[in-house]
Amino acid sequence: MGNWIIKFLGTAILIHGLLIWTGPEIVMRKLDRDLEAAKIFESECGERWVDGIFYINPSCLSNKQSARKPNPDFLYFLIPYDLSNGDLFVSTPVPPNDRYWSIHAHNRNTDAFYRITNTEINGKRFEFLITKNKNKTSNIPIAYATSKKGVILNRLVMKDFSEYESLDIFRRSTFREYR
Amino acid sequence: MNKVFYRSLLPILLGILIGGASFYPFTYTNPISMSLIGGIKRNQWVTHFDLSMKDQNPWLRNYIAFIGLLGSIRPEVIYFEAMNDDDGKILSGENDYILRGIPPKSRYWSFVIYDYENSQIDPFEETVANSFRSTIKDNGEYEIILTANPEKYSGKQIINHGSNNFTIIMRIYGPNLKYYEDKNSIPVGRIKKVSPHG
Repeated sequence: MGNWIIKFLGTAILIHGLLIWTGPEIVMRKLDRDLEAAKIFESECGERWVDGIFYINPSCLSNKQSARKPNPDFLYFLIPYDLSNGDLFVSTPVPPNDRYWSIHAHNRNTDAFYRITNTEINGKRFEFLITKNKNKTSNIPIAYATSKKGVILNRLVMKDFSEYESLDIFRRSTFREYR
Repeated sequence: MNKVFYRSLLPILLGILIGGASFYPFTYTNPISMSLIGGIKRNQWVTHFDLSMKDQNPWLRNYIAFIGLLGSIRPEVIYFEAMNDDDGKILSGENDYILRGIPPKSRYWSFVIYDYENSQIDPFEETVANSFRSTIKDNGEYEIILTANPEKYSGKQIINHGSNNFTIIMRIYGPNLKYYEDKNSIPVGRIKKVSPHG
């Protein structure tokens, strides 16, 4: 009987731990698939993929399983990256401080390793570099990643839904390249 | 054969079943996950200050991945989530509610409702109330009606739950940093059932 209980509990704990450990990766893979599927143009969603940047239209979020509980007030853009291609340089517009704006960089396990908001930035653009090289130095801010793959997420608040078109143009001056 | 099954295979099969079943509650918002993950409670509201940070516990990391992938981190935001009214009853699409409270000190705050599958409720534009569009009453409080019948509350600030059972998230962006030191100083909303509609 003792052996039976050990086998039962051991298996249950192992399976539970395995699922908890791999759960974030499962969801990130679903995100990968959703982003890949979004390369097919849908007129109601607009031009979503531009030069490696995925611009999210709030009205196209609700049917995506990987987009859990998005804030309808936000315009988001995502930059999935793979540092096997080099360090990633990003340049993006920054709104005045009366409007909430932030950048987060997430590792593959979903942990955020870098964050900044517009009240911490002087100027109308923000440029930064993501690298895995801990010895890298630069004259622009550096975010040190701990996994090769990850995602940058930008949040830009709409004070009113009528601002969508102007803010959509604003955010689309974002640029990224591997260096 | 039967002996081998009962002694070796059965405990392993049951272990797989229980292991999987005990994982499932950590993939959506429910009373089990909300009480087991830990977190900070204020009345019926629950938050996690370590969300998306590298030191978060693996259950929280998994839970957040499933319910709100890529969350903002401290000190950018405090997320509070509730699935009950002030009487402890589940927030039901059968009822109307009044949400009242003092606005938090922050750059921007909002309330948004979601269905039990963690998805937006459409039309999503009617599922949000925020600091830009909410009026504050003379007593310093916001007052937001949660209903499927906005026409019954002309002139009021409305969130339309569309008769869906729902959870509600309060987001406090750029919060007063003192909130992290004293959770009791964070002003959370009161949710009172008004009446069954119909």
